[in-house]
Formats: sequence, structure tokens, C-alpha cells
Amino acid sequence: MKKYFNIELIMTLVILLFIGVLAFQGIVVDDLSDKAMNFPSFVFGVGGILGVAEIIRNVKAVQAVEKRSEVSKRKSVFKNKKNFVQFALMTLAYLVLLYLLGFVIASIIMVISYGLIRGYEKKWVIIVAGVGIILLWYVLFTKMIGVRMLTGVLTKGLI
Amino acid sequence: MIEGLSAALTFGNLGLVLLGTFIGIIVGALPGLGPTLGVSILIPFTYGMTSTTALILMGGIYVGAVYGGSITSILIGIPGTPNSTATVLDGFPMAQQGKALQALGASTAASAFGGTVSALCLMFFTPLFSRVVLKFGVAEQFVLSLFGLSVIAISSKEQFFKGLLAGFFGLAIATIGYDPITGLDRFTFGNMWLADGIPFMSAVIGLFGVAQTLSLAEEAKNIAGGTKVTGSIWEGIKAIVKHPVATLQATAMGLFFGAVPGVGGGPANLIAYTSISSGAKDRETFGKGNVKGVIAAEASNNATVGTALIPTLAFGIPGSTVCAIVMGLLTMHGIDVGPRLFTKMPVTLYTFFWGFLFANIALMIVAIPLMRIFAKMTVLPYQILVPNVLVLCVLGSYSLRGFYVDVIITLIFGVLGYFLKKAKFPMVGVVLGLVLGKMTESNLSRSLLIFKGWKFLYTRPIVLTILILTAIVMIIPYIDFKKIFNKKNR
Repeated sequence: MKKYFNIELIMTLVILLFIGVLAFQGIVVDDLSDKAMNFPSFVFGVGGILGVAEIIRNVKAVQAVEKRSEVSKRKSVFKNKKNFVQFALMTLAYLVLLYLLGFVIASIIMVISYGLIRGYEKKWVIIVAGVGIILLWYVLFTKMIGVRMLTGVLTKGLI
Repeated sequence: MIEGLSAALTFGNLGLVLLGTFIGIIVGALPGLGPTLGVSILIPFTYGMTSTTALILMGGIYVGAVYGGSITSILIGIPGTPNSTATVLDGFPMAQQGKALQALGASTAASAFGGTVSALCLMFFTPLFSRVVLKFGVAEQFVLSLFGLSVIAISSKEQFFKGLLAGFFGLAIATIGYDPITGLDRFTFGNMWLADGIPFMSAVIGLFGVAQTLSLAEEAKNIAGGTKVTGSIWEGIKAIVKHPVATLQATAMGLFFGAVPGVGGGPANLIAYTSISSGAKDRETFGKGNVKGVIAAEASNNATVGTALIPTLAFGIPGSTVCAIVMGLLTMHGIDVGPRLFTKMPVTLYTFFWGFLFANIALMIVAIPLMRIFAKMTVLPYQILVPNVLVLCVLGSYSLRGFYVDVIITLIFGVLGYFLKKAKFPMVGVVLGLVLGKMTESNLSRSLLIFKGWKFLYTRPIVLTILILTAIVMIIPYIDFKKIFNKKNR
């Protein structure tokens, strides 16, 4: 069974799960009217059929590879798992910092820490560029264009 | 018309054209801003200006902003505006191959060409276009959306089920939010932030921009992959002459979709790109850095700008949010839109049209000197580029509505886009589904209400024509003409 679980199958299942959750929410939980569910029902129905068809195609493709006695070495999804996980975790931390400290401080921390952790030789360039670029966005967006910046829960009123 | 030309050809007005185009390019290049914000920011500044000055400046900003989105699309893989989504598909791979200058040159030339043709149509063919536009009701708009969705099928001939599933996934996401007919909240899970649905730009910035930063961070390399920036701007500019069919086809599609109210640049560039890429002999090279992909996206995108103003000016029906703002600006300056506009204030109107035309030409003058500076972004070390691109994605997403939840949506779509790309799902399908979903549903529901059933599909000639065209377009890629002709000869 494990041999069939490639990234294409997993993402097809994710899409089918998403469609299933929406359908359940609309039909069972919210009990939406027929008028409101006409178009979504069509989309979910056809999407479901296409998802099943894609799963069947995928399974057949794996079986075809096996029949040809090719070495079906499962290719890793990631080219470099460590780099991906590191950046993903930093992004999650950035998301939390955005909420707590606001855009300016969180972004400066993110830009500088990523550059330092990834070992860029000229540390002063990372720090100056990081602070400079973020402050440039701040001036451009708030002072010139008039877009309000995200302020953090802990820094309300500061920036 | 001649008086309008002489009014437009003053140093002051030409200077305004250049200034407006420059401001527009900067606004358009920043993700999450775009022509709507650019034009609406201008409004308070125009209180003290004459109507001619205000309109010329607005035309420059509008044209520049629509083009400007292609810069970030090409250089960092984040569409600056919804109109530049398709540009990412081939523009960014070109940048990754060190051909950023060529891609920028092609996008500038294609934008200038499409926009110039559009401005000429606005000037000379408004009465003709407006007669055609009047015939397009909700039923016609519905089948046009179907046509747009059908290109998902032809774009993914080799991965038929995957491509269509991507499109229906986009449609499913588009059903989240209020039902366009009953107004009921659907699939919001009691969350008020989802009442308006998933914001299109937040999703697109995530699917392309954040997904790209995840890839760059994983591979630990800059955009150009360690190569130098090669190719020249002029190679890109010459590409529109080398590929006249793609340029003209995309421009024609942009002119048409721009004139139909409610469609606009967002779907137009995606549909034009997908149609041209599917019909090309070298279709397998699209999505991997084919300059024709950039030309198709940008020519169609800018071609919508002029013709989108036709229903606005001729009938007072704004075809898009930007057109609604333009209409507001015109009214503010004492210009009443409608059928009598061309007879009441012809000089002011034609000065605006000429200014609009010059703005498309000014694109080349303003953008070319900036390209070499912009292109250097592709060779910046990834340690500086990657976090800054992520920050720009967050900023772009937040600036749309000012909600933190939009940032979360962008990051979720970023992770989704990253894995969808790994699983070889065509992103263009997801985006087409997202952009056409609400439009298709609302036009279908209204058509069923107005015509009391499905008979509009076979009683209205334009609807029937578009349906037949859609069927032909879906079937043709699967017919092996060579086999048929060979069999006949035997």
C-alpha cells in the first residue's frame, strides 16, 4: 500500500477531503437551502468524480511502472528537508511575532535572523539591509500611500 | 479629435503622462496595491486640478499600475495585481534562467502594444464596441465564464483529470462566503472573516509568492540560480515582432474581455495565456520560460484597459472597481458619462483619450531605464532575498483589507501552493477557478431567474455561438488531425 502514497495521491486526497468537509458543512451542519447549494453541489459532485478518477489514474501509473520492472525508487518530496523545515518553522514564528509585536519589529527580526542563521558572510549587510528595507516599506505604505501597518498586541500605540 | 490632440501635446500634459505612468508602475509593482488603489489615492490630489490634467494623470497611473504588476511577477514570482497572475507562469521561470531582462523587455513591449491598440479602439471604435456590449447580458456572461473554465481542460491535455480537478478545487474555494443570490453565509464555519469569501489576491500571493519563497529557501539559491543575468531587453522587445500571432491573438482576446462588463483583466490574462499555450506547437515549453507566455499574458492584460472604459463612458456601467473609481473622478470634474458624453465635452474627452494613448507609449520610455535596476533582484543572495520576499507577501496581503486573518490565509495558501506544485497540479487551473467561481455562479443564478429555466442556452444566438465555440475548443486538442488526413490519403 505504501508504494501508492506519493505526493500526487496525497494532494488529491487533501482536495477531496476539503470538498467533503465543505459538502458536510453545507448539507448537514448548516442545512443550507437548495438555491444556496445548487452550484456548490455541482462543483463538489464533479470535483469528487475527478478526484476519484485521478486516484485511479495514479494507482494505474504506479502499477504500470512496477510491471515494467523499473526500480520504483520513491523520490523524496523535498530536495532539502532540513532547509524547508527550518524556513517553515521560522515563518510560523514570524506569524506569531506579527500578532504580538506588529509588522515592523517582527519583520526586522525575521529578515535579520534568517540571514544570520543561513550564514551570510557580511553580517552588517544583513542588519543594515534588514532594518533599511523594512523602514522603507513602512514609510512608503503608511506615510505616502496611507495604508495602515499591522500593529502588535504588545506594541499598540508604539508604531 | 484634433483639438484634443493639440491640448494633449503640451509639455505640461506630456510631463504628467510620464509622472503618472511612473507612479502607476511603482504602485502596480507592489503586491496588494494595484490600479484600484493607485487611482483612488489620486482623487483627493485632483481637487485643485483642471479636469484635463486630472484625467491625463489618472490615465497614466492606471496604465502604469496595470503594467507594473508584471515586474514582481517576473522578478520574484509574486503577481503584483490580479491582472498579472498569468505572467508569473513563464516570466518567473525566465528570471530563474537568468533571462529577467528579456522577460521584462517582452512584458513592457507587449503591454505597450496591447494598451496602444486598446486606446485606439477606445478612441475610434467606441460606438461599434458599445453596440456589441449592449447585447451581452447575464446569460452571455455566464457562458463566457464557462468558456474561461473550459480552457482549464485544454491547458492540461496530458494531465486531464489533474487539471480539471485543480479548476474545480478553485471553484470550491470560491463558493466560500456569501451566496450571491440568497445572501446567506456559506461554508464560513461561523467565522465572520470568511463572510466575504477568500480574498483573491491573498490566495494568489500565497499560491505563488509564499510557495516560491518556500522553494527558494529549500533550495538555498537565489532566483537566477547562481547564474548571471543574461539576455537583453531588446531581445524581449523584439519578441513581440518575432511572435506576431501570439501578440495579436492575446491583444484581441484582451480587447474583447475588457469590453464585457464584469470580466476584466484578471480572467482575461489567464484565459488568453491558457488558450495560446494550449494551441501552440511548442506547448510543452510553456510554464518553463517561454517568452510567448509573457507576451500572451501582458498583451491581453493591458488590452483590457481601454475597452473596459467603453461601457463606463458610453453607458455609465463600470465594468470593474477601477472603472467605477474613474467614473467617480469624471463626475467630480463635471463630466457626466453616458451616450451624450461624446457630443457634450468632445475636446476634454479626446484630450483624455490621447493622454491615455501616450501613457502606453510612455511605458517604454519610463520602464526601460528601470529594468536593469529591477533585474539585479534576481541575483541577490537568497539569505537577503527570501525573508524580504516573504515580508512583501505579508505586507501585500495585509494591505488589501487590513485584517491579520488575510496574512494567515496567504501563508496557508503558500504551503498549499508549494505542495500542489510538487504534485504537479497546474496552478493556472486553481486560479481560474478562484477568479471565475463567483462570477459563474451569480450569472447562472440570475440567468435561471430571468429566463425561468435553462432555455436561454438554446434561444439566445450569442449564448449558443459561445457554447459551440467552447465545445469545439475543448474537443480540438484531442483530435489527431494528422491521423485523419493520413487515413484519408491511404
